[in-house]
Amino acid sequence: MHPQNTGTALIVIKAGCTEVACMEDFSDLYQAGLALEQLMGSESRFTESFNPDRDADEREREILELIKQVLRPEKAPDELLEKCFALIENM
Amino acid sequence: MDPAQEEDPKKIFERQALPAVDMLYRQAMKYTNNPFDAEDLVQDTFEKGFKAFSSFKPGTNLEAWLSTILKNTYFNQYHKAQRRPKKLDAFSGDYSDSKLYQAGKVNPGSAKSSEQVYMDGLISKDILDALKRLPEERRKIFIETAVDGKSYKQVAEENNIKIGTVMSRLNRARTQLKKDLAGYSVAPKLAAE
Repeated sequence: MHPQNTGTALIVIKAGCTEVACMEDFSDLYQAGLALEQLMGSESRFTESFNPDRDADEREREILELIKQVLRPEKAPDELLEKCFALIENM
Repeated sequence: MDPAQEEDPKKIFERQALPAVDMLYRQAMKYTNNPFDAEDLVQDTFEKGFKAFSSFKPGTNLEAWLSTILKNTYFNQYHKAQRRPKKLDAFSGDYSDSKLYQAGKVNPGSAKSSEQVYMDGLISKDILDALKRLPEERRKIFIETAVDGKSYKQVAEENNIKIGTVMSRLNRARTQLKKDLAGYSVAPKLAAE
């Protein structure tokens, strides 16, 4: 692990406090997260993805669900089919 | 001669292509993140598809063929600033309640009531307004991570930014959205269902 003097500091205390590792100045949080992974031997949230069940409260999850309904709908609006049909009919 | 060979190409295209509208709309929404641009893009795709239908090989995958047309249309035209969709652009603020209502008008075959469709339109407008107020770089990262579920690493690589920046922009976007939508109630939609 090579500190890069950019200011992100990470202190890890391993389970049972038998080891303490102090790492400073990683290039970014991702690099620090990778280091954490290596030390803990498990996945850390730093390298995963946003998980509403873990990272958001109920209110935010509701809002996110509505945003998904708006941005990622399963079906096209009813009138779009009619518009496409009319478009072809008029060509 | 097989009667099918004499069928009007327009009818053949309608029968085969119109069932693809949901798939095309979903694809268009992923590209545009805007219901109005997505509708325009799908209609452009149908128009181009029909004009080029003679080049389509029967027996091959029409949905995939139309999907390619949509993709090319988006990246060749919509994606370029010189030919943005002219009708409406939610993120530039060029839409209205009346247009939303018009866009969501119920048809006789729809399972939704006109009230529900109108409420859906209002919900969409609130959501799109809140997203529109996000700075472009935060909105993009928010959609890719929180909506599309991409990993931080993938988003960082695709946008050529550090993962720390992805997480920072996501957190700022979430904070702003929570603030902007703090007084927003989901009750009308739930009550109407």
